[in-house]
Amino acid sequence: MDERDLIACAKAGERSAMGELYELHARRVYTVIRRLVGDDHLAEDLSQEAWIRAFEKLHLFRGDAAFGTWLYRLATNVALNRLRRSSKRRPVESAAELPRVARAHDDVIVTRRVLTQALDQLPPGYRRVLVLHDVEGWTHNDIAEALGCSPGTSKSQLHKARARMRKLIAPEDSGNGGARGEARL
Amino acid sequence: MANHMDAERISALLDEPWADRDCRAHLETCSDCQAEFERLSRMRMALSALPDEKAPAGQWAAIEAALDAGETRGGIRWIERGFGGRLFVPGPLQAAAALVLFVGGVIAGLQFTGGSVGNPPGTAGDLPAVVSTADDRALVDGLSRMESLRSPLRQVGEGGADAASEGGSSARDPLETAQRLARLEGLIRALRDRLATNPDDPLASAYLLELVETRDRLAEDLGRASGTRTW
Repeated sequence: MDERDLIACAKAGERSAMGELYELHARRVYTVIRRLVGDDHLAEDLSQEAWIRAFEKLHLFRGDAAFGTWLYRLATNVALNRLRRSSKRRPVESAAELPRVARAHDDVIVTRRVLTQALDQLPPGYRRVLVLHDVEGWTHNDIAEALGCSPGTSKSQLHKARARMRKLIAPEDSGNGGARGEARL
Repeated sequence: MANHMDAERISALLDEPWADRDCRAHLETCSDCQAEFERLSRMRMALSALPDEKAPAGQWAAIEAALDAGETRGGIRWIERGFGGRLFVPGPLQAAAALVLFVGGVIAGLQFTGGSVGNPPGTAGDLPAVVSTADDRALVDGLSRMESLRSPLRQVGEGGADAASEGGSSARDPLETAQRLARLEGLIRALRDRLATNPDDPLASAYLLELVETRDRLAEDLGRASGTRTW
């Protein structure tokens, strides 16, 4: 049964078809949300919420766009909405409070694990722009629309986020100017 | 440019190498900045190649349990997660449902006991007259506000999100869709203003998401209709 058939059966309420759709896309949905929110438990709750919403709204999916595109956008919206709400209650992080996560010495190639750890340590505002642009491949216009900001703000946040990532990954050689080490990514 | 470039400027150069001629010229002559440029470039590539993570074990069972539990279309959801048996009820939906249940109960009670309510539930009308405590009034005020938030969307597109869903608008006149989009933008701006002054308003927050999703779908449909890609 191909994906189109699965969607048709899922729309009719067939639980096994829903399960197969879940199997096909569960990793991607969870990953997108996990990277945006930077927290395992929250990502678990939100990905579950995203799936339930997806099945609730499946009757609205006609099939012109790829199911994955529709689903990942829905999942992203769930995560962004939660971040938007929680950011209103969280005090602004300062650079001085930023923890260091990685010990990437000069001759160490940074692993995926270190990258993921560093992503988790970014302030939420930086993280969501960096994830959407550099990981998920969104354009600044798309990001600006989703976040309700200007494309210029999205660019500025991205560059600050990358600079912060560099400090998190190799803090000792990412100063402004001066001799830099040879840490490699 | 005698000094080294900071990471933010180098990052900008990464995406738009043509944009800053001075920085580009500096980069060609400064080995330190060149090395930093390459590190940032590698970081960007590594980020784009990050593999997907594993979905949580047992998640499908939890989703199935939630689906089995009955609920849904826009109502309260009870979700068992894993073995922890955690309760998950989205705050805005919970608040909205509580308001509806409460006011519905008040009206039903009045009708049962011979009281009268001039307006149907969900309108401001006579409702404040039938409640007495400050908490009750707050609930009724909340319901009235919810209705005032929802009514503009009904005007924009019959049935709100349903009308803007896939297939809901592609058969419509693109001009009409564009007009609805413009009106949605106005509503979104108004809601954002409301949230700026009252950030903890759960109803406005939940409804903003609904409006944004509706707007995105309309934009997608409009893009398809005009042969351009908006998303």
